[in-house]
Amino acid sequence: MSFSIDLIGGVTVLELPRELTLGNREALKRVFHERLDAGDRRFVLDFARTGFVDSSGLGVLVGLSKTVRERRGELRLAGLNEELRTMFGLTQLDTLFQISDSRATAVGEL
Amino acid sequence: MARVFAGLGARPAIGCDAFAAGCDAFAAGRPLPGMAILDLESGPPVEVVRGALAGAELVALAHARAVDGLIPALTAGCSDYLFFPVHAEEARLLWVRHRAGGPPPVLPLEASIEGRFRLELPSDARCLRAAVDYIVATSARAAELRPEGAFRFRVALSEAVSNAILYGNREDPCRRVRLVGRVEPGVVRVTVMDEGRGFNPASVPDPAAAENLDRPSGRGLLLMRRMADEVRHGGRGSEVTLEVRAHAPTA
Repeated sequence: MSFSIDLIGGVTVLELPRELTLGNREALKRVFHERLDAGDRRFVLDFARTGFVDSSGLGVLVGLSKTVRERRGELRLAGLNEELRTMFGLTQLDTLFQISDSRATAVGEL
Repeated sequence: MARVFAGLGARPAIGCDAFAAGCDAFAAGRPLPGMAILDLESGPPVEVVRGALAGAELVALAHARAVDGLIPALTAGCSDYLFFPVHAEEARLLWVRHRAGGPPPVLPLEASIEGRFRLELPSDARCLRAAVDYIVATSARAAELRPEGAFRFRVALSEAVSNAILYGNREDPCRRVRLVGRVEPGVVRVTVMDEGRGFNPASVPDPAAAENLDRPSGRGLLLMRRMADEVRHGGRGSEVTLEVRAHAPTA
């Protein structure tokens, strides 16, 4: 196991670790692509436990978003704290991603 | 679901080859050779454990309130660190790294958060987190930055140091990243220097422009500029000075 994965009503929910950075971005990419290759197409990335994301982490999220679109899938982010929401706003990534308050809301919206 | 090593803090130093067998086995504390976790709060000094477990990789277990001991532990022989409570994924990654190639280089640094600090890192991304965590935890307190300021400082400093390691020094093990900082009430200033050829910050495309949003890289400078109160480039791009000030709480 790399990242906690739950399947809720046909939606794949990945719970991200405390940090998403240069140090673990490859692990997220690997897990995500494994699920894509297994046929999953609806994803929620749950940030409820995540307190820090660096530009490398943001870069991976952008790459995953692009890949999901190319494979005709959907991706939502959920559970971002106020600081991470600020970070997404500063980088305009809040216009690229669909962001929900909680994983339950995100799953319901997919 | 995520599992946490709840019993870890009670053990001063235990073997943890049981990572390989799974997290629950590790929580049971099977004594195995190869790696030892050293509790910085309640465990014996690093030197004592190093003498008793010659050849084993030592990993420091830091508690939020004992972060001051982290850098001394790293310089005394611990090769890496974990924060309590330890999450299964962090422990697993540590184990994978241990099995793959042994410990990363020990941080060579001198740090004194009594107004000034100076720190030198190898160009190894694995050192980034320990260095940034330590500087932010100690200097944010001394500079009286509130959590909001500490977060901004952490983001800006992480980006500056990772740029120096990845793009300035191109992860060349012969090159160093140097940090010189000064802390006073209400403000922290740090200069990050690499040994690369420098770059022109004006040549970096705006990652927030619509046509660049899909690009996977290029957000480090933007985050630095938005999070720090002041960013100055020098040395033809091979050094950057960040200044983060404590902001008054919003009503």
